[in-house]
Amino acid sequence: MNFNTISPLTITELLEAIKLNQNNHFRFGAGYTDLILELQHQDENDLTIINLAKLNDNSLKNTSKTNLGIRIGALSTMANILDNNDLHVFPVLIEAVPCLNRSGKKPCFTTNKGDGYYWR
Amino acid sequence: MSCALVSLNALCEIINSDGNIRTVPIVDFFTGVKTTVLQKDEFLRSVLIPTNSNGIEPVSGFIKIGNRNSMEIALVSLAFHITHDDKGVINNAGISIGSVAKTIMLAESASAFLKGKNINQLSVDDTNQFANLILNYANPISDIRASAWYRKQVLWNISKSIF
Repeated sequence: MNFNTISPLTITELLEAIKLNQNNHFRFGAGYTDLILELQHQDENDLTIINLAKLNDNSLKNTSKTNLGIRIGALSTMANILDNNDLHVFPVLIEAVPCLNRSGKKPCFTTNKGDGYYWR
Repeated sequence: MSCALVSLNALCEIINSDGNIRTVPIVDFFTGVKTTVLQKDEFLRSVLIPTNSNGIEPVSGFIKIGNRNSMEIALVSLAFHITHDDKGVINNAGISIGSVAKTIMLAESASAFLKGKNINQLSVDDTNQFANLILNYANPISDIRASAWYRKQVLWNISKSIF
């Protein structure tokens, strides 16, 4: 398999990379778990990967309070969300995070034998 | 987590390669299994959660039913964010469900049903009706992880367990 990698550092460079590759076969990469698994099963020739892992743009990585609400950047981590006190006014969001990565305190309900929640 | 964001009526801020930004309600962002409204020259820049807190703690939470705790997709999930005034009268409710349809569903009729009711005075009939309204949005599949019947039963039960 033959592929190129572009690693933009800013959102401007990212937009430029997307524009330049509009007529090419490109994919985004960040954590790569999904991409690696997919590439194992299908051969993608002339693939360009736009690597998001090195982006260092605060508007993508941070959470900020605005007059419209709370803005969560697309590259914010689960830890960022859990650590942000402004987001704790939304318990639904905070409870959903541990269900993804187990870094929080509240356990998710499971259907393991012996747990005994009445609805199972 | 997308299910939680749907219950909060979050907005997706999408930017294209020319730098133009458009905003899409997150409930419309997902169009199906592994598909979104994103065009080839677009990416999701951020998610905006509108804030209109009145200072009273909402009834809010996320329930995931799964075969194991972490790194596993849910068999059923339910997100709810219900705000009320100091007397308990519900003024807004966001109810969303995951893993029981081709994409996350916002149970709008269930939300509408709750508005104006007192959260401390809901009867058994009310909670049954609420759970039935949520169930109307469920169209699950049977697969190796759970049957459609099971997912619906669990969804009905966890919907009632909110109150």
